Amino acid sequence: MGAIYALVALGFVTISRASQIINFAQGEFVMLGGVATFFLLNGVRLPYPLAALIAVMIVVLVGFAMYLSVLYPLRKASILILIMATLGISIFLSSTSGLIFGTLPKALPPFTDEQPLMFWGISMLPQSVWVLVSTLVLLTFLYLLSHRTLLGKAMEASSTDPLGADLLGISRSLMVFLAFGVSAGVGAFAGILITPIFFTSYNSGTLLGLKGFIAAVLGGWGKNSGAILGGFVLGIVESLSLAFIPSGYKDAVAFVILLLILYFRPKGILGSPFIDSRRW
Amino acid sequence: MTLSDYKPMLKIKKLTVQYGPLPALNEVSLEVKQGEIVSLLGPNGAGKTTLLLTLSGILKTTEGRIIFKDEDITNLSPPKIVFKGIGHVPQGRHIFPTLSVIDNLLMGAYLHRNEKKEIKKDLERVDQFLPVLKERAHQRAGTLSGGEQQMLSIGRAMMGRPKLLLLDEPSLGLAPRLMDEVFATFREMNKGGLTLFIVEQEIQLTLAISNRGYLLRNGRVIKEASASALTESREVKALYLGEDAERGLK
Repeated sequence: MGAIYALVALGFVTISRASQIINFAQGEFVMLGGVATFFLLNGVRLPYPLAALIAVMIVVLVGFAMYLSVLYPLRKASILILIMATLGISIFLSSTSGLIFGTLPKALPPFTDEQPLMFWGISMLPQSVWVLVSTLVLLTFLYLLSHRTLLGKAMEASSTDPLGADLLGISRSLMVFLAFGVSAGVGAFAGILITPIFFTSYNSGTLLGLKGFIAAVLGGWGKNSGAILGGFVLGIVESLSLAFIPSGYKDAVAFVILLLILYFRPKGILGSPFIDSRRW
Repeated sequence: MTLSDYKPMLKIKKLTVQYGPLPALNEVSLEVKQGEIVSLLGPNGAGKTTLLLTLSGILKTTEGRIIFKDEDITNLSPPKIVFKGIGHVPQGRHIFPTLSVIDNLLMGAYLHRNEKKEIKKDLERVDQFLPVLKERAHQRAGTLSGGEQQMLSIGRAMMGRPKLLLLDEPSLGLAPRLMDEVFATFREMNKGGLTLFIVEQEIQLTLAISNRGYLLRNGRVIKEASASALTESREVKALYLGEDAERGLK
């Protein structure tokens, strides 16, 4: 679960670094990834890997479309308006998905058989191993993309110093556009990984999105490393809390963590470049 | 060759820029000829930075025209303006602290990113002008000293192959010895064929390397003269000594 939060948090951070927008539709990308794969698998009857790949591509296109249709025309508006717009898009996406694909929860089959694996006396579902391994592979891939390619470096440049990048002819709109694509792709990927473990329904994106947001704040808003760390910490704390409090309260744990972190360490575990530490 | 023999490169005609209800620039007209070093002087808040940001397309103008090499570039997008050959070294350097020095330079060549061979040549040329950048090529730019960051910001703008380089307060925050070094570099760059338009508060050093200069105040050009005439002028002396002295001179 921590891996999923980490991916969602990474999606938040990618967009916020490029544009300062907090994209509250991030959770919908996750939901769409799961639901679209379900549809392609059971409706169109594509083989599993192909369905997953196409689903990721569809969600990336949704991310691009979301930027072009709503956020690009609003680019001169204040950040608050843009954030409200993402909230609107989030509601739009989940309702539309409910109308098209139905409101029943959907489950995907696990990638491989369901026999639990034993590691040094710890039993794990194969799907959990899949989630962990794929997340690590994806993170490595994203790291290489942003640190080894010119375009990745341009995105980094544009997010650390927008004016400096503008003056070199690096188009900020293009960078934000790409950030939306990457975030949508990462979100969809997370959705596909998680749907075999938990059910995905048209409205499950909101909670996932909020928890990913909490993970990003917990780790240190605006930092990729913070998002990943925050995701795993949140996942682990949530699971451990089951030993002490009824499982019905599991979702509340994340929000209690959010409150605590905002009270006592708003810049998160690793610190945040956006929050001035001197104020706290 | 006298000044009038130079070909005009940049012509600004009656440029007006609004910041909210007040005009930051009010019908500013000036020109920069090919091969010149032109300085723009003036007190804080005169609109110098606003003028440069408008030239680069970051700020939009409400009235007036900007002509660069016989082409109207008024309100074009920043990438288009960079591509046409106007480089900009912004005030406060604006380097990318998390990228290495060499990556910063490569970002400067972003618009020419597919011309690998030329970029390599450009890199060598920049290293020649600014040798310190070569020594630190793989260091993170954020770890450079202020002077080195300034050099990096200049080198980065040169990677875009500008014909005209806009320099916004390049001496800001530099130790005096470094300032001399930076201005010597400007002179070298100018000899290499680059036209320079410098905004500065460091009046003496700037006028020493300039051909001509303009004086800007409250968003208006109040004086235009050759560098030597400006050095002697009452207005520039007043600028040194502050407003009170100016009143005294009157």
